[in-house]
Amino acid sequence: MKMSVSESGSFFKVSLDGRLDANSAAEAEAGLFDVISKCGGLLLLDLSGLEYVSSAGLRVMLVAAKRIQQRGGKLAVHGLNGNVKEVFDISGFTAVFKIFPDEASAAAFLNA
Amino acid sequence: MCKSPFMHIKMRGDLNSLSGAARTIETFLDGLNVSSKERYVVALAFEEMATNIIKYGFEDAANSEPVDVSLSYTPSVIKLTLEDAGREFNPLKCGEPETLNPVEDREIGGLGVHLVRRMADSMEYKRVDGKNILTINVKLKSGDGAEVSK
Repeated sequence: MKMSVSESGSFFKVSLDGRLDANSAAEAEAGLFDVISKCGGLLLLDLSGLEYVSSAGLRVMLVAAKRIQQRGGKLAVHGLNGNVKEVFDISGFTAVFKIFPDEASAAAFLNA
Repeated sequence: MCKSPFMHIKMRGDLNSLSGAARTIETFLDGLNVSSKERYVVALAFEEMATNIIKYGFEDAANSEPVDVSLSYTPSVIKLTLEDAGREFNPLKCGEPETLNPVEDREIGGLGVHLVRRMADSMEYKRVDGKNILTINVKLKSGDGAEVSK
């Protein structure tokens, strides 16, 4: 898994690329918590490069979403590919997360 | 066909061995006629079920008897079998998790078995001679098992 972070105006953008599995979950969690502590609660999660996520990876996203919610922030997700989208659908995450078709609409939600 | 249609690994019960075994499975699937979706389901089934065995099957999984992992391929189906000498655990008897609660109410975890049950085509469980034997079938759409689309 590769994680890249960039600052974009009022929010931080995090891209998770590759495989988010039992092996990389701890690293992703630490990285996301670090960003959340800096970003003032507004986070855009770009999953367009994410090829694989397991329940260990879903757990990391859920924990991150809860932490953002506790801070009164907002999380916007975009870029789900076919297989990852199906995992989100089956696990009920599609209904739980704010998911957008592209980065512009995700950014508009965070800036609203 | 120059690849063996069968593989077997003895996996130790720690995270490093788990990711090593996952890579071995990926390599085995390379070059076989398997779609991206089918590869995903095999990888997910292995990770979720092996993680459960490592986490809950043993007091000290890293120093216990290794888990036998095997994968067999025919043009119509991939069969993944996990055999372990840990605590009795039948994943077919797990309850369904709550998947529709809002973020603040959701239980963390408990999703792995649910995902595999929904994405794989069938699962069989047996307890034989103190061992859990779990077989997960992933039908291959390109093969003879293409009659049913999920």
